[in-house]
Amino acid sequence: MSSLTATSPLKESWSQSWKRAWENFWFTPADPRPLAVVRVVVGLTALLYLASFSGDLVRWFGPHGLLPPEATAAITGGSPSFRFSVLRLADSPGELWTIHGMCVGAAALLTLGLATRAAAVGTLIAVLSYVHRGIVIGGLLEPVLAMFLLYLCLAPCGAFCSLDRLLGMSVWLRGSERPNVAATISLRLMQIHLAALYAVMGVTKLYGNAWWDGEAVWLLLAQTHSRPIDPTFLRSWAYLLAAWTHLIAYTHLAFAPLVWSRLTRPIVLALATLTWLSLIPVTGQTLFCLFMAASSGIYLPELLAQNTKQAEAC
Amino acid sequence: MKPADSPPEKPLSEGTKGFLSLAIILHLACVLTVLAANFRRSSLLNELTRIFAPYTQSLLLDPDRTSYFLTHGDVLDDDAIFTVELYRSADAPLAGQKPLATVMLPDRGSRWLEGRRRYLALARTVQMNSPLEGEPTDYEGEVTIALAKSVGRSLMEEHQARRAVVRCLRRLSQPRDLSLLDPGFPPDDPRDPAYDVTVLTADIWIDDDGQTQGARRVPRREQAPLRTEAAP
Repeated sequence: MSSLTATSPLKESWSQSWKRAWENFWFTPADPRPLAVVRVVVGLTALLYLASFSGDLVRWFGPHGLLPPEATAAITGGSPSFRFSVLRLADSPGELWTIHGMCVGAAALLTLGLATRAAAVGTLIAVLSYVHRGIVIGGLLEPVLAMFLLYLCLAPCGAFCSLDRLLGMSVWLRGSERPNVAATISLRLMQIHLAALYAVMGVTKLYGNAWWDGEAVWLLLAQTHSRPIDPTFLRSWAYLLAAWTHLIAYTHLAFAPLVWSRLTRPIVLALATLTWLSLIPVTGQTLFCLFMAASSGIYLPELLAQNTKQAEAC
Repeated sequence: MKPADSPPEKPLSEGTKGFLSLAIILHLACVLTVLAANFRRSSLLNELTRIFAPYTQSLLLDPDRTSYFLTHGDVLDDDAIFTVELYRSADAPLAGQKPLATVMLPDRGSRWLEGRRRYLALARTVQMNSPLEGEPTDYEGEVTIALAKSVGRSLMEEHQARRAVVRCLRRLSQPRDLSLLDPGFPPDDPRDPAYDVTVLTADIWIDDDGQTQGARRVPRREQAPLRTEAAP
């Protein structure tokens, strides 16, 4: 009995410290300013992504288009599918263009911060609609973009740098500009989700020989249909190509564990940005690579807060 | 115009914190599970992904098998494209017709932008569902012929044609060390047709009712001695 009474306060303090750490992590009110910057970047990316369909809209999704509903039904194989798309409501090119215009408009409103909360939801629905309708033509960008849009829907992302603020719109529309818990939860979910995505990118590279052998960057450059530049001059630079390959693989592997430490965070963020920028001429995935490079910025509020604390301590 | 001041944030009650904590844990459990199932899936992950699908699939939290590894250096990681020969008549034999046009997809868009990449992704889907050896499964056969029909029909509409031969070509990539090249592959031109492998050939035509019909051509080495051409 005496041993029980002796250990229970210890156990309690351990669980209480975990509870405190959890609550500090998730429920300490955060400044919504960084989310305004995230909103502008995400809104602009969504705008470019949706606008990129404009040239081929009817060719892809119109009557007798490249992806008619019969083709997408064959791909899903009759299994239950939870892929709602507003584009399925369009029966004619005119209706398709109307819906497309509304989708692009929602992304423009989100970027400008007008009726921000509604625009965030509208843009998320728009991006999901294109992905779900185009099922096999999606790429690397869409899941990351949709993830950021989802978390922006929870956040007071229109409180700053927005037309809502300039025009004095209601708090309900733009979100509170005071430090608040919704901003914290939104930012934390973005940080954890992005770190998990990096872990997937790093771990799945380990399955193939190309990232071990140092040949992966060359193999990406050797794709004559997708590569944006002719890289034949790099053929004799075997060490450079191998170093480039290893830098990408190890940075993506190390990102998730090292981004949480204040010592390693600046290094890993700089390396991640560098690798994404270096992948643009290799893969031609300009929008995705730029978005990934910019998305490293969601870990900066943490970095700035630490620096402020250190400065105050000094 | 100055915005109205926001009301001060009230501290969260213990009950609200508990509810939010539970929601966060459930959400992250779903997200981490579907991300763990990105490349290869155990039967457990497969089942969990199916259970979470209404939530994760509808919100695109599940990237499915999106190749975030970029390349493994496998043959299936090589680029693929479509080439489509278009003919005026659906009834006359191909041998007696000159093609109206031959179209290569992608036929537009910058190599730096999204638009062109989508055409490559479509051809890649056909490539991924065309086994390197042996016959495709029923599912693979249905997917490839459905995509060949939609590509053929779309281009036939654009060019007022009634028949098309749709081919999906894989472009084998050149190794960095050219001494490893097999004979027959020119080292100075990685775009030479010798690097192209046909993974699918399909005859697509518009029938008298205006419906799209299609048949996959069986590669010559796989043909049974008495099999006849499926297309008219």
